[in-house]
Amino acid sequence: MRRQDSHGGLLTDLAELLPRLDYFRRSPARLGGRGGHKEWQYFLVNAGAVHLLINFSLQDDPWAADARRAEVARLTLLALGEEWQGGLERFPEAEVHVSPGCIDARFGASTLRFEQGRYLLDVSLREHSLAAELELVPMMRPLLFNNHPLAPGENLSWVVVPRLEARGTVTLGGRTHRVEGAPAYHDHNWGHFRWGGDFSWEWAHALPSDAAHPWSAVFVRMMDRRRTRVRYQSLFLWRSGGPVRTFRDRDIRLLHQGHFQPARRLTVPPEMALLAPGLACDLPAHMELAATSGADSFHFRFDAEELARVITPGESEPRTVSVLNELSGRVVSHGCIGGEPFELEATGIYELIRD
Amino acid sequence: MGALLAESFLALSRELPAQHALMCEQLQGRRVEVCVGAERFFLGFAPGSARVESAGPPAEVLLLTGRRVLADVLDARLSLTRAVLTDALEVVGPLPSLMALHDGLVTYVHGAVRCPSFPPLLARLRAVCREDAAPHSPPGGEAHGSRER
Repeated sequence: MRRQDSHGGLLTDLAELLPRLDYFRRSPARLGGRGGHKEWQYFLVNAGAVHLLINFSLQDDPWAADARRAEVARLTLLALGEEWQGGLERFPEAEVHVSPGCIDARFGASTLRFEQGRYLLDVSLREHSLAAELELVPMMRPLLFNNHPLAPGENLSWVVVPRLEARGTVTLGGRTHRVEGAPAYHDHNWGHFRWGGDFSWEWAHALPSDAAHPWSAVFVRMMDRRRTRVRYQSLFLWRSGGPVRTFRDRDIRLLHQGHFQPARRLTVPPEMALLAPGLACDLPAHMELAATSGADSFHFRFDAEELARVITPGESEPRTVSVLNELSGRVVSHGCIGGEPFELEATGIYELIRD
Repeated sequence: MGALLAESFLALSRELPAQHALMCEQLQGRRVEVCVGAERFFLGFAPGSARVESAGPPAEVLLLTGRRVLADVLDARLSLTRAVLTDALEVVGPLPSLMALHDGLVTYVHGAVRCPSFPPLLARLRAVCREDAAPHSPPGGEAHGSRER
């Protein structure tokens, strides 16, 4: 029986749809299949004074002695106030429970579940005073992308839920912030690829301060590792519950401006700073994106403010690292889709891979 | 600390033998005296062999620091470069030996972050370093993150 909701059945539809799309896949290597699997459930929450990035990640350790037990669980929990704080922790096998085919994971004391149309997150770090207990209700229909090529023989699949409504609490440094009706973002990626392979990506999303703002946008660009060739790029727009427009490839012009010179930056896990020392980074200070197709247009400007780096050992070569740069900043955007103009001011995350 | 390092050399040789061999090659014939707080030991390197010894002949390189400094470097509160420039970590020896030591250290860390058995070793190393660390790092406070400025 369908529940009644105030969104024309949307929430009920999403409650039924998401468990069929967004479930943990887990590595085929556990059953003797292909290794090199990676998967993560990623959430962003604009909780007012604090922005939260939460990532439940599973990835096959290429250096594990037993390929059937190579899957490693890692939780990344970052909070952005005036600057990034937080950490990345990995968990021994005995502390990890993930149900394949379900949205149900326990990494140590942290859990992710999907119940009655809501993502339920209860996360904390052992080494930092940072924790959150959140309920996220999906508010827009997801998009699913299967087996997008990253590099020869390597692929990535993707479910994106561009807008959710969050409520609960975030505790940072002993202070608890109440979250009520806050805009949030979620995606889930999985696939077979090696960090340091012949690919890099740029991804951007913005969360408005006003949860009632009806527009949401996600940008992704896939390139070769040296970033000399764009393999494909897409900009997806949603309005009030559903996807309304996609711009692709030649519709989109992207311009990097200036050179971001951070006054500080957070590195997780911290010991990886030994392999990527210093504050120098190859990141733009500003990004400007313009998309046009027919009478539809979209413009997006991002001004970088703070940097967090998630650093992973390169898997293709023994003395390399892959850096996922989580660049936060201000977003100003406007556009006109289907004759309807809109404007958006938001806090955005621009993620860029660098070696 | 010396025992942990010896255990880590064994783990590296077992799990990433190529990185272990490269480290030994880069440091071949070098001898390093390490003083961390009150603890003193020697590192010796030969082809395919990295040893930790409690005594032995004089070393050509001296490395002198404290556990708290190592904790700050591991937690990225202090970069290795700044630790050396501020004498929080002193390294004394001929330039070629210091360069070899740096190369060997980078090789060791690249291997360490890839070895499946290193995370628990790293946790134990952090615990040892914190035994001497003053309570200057309140959880969530400025000094507890991984920020380098």
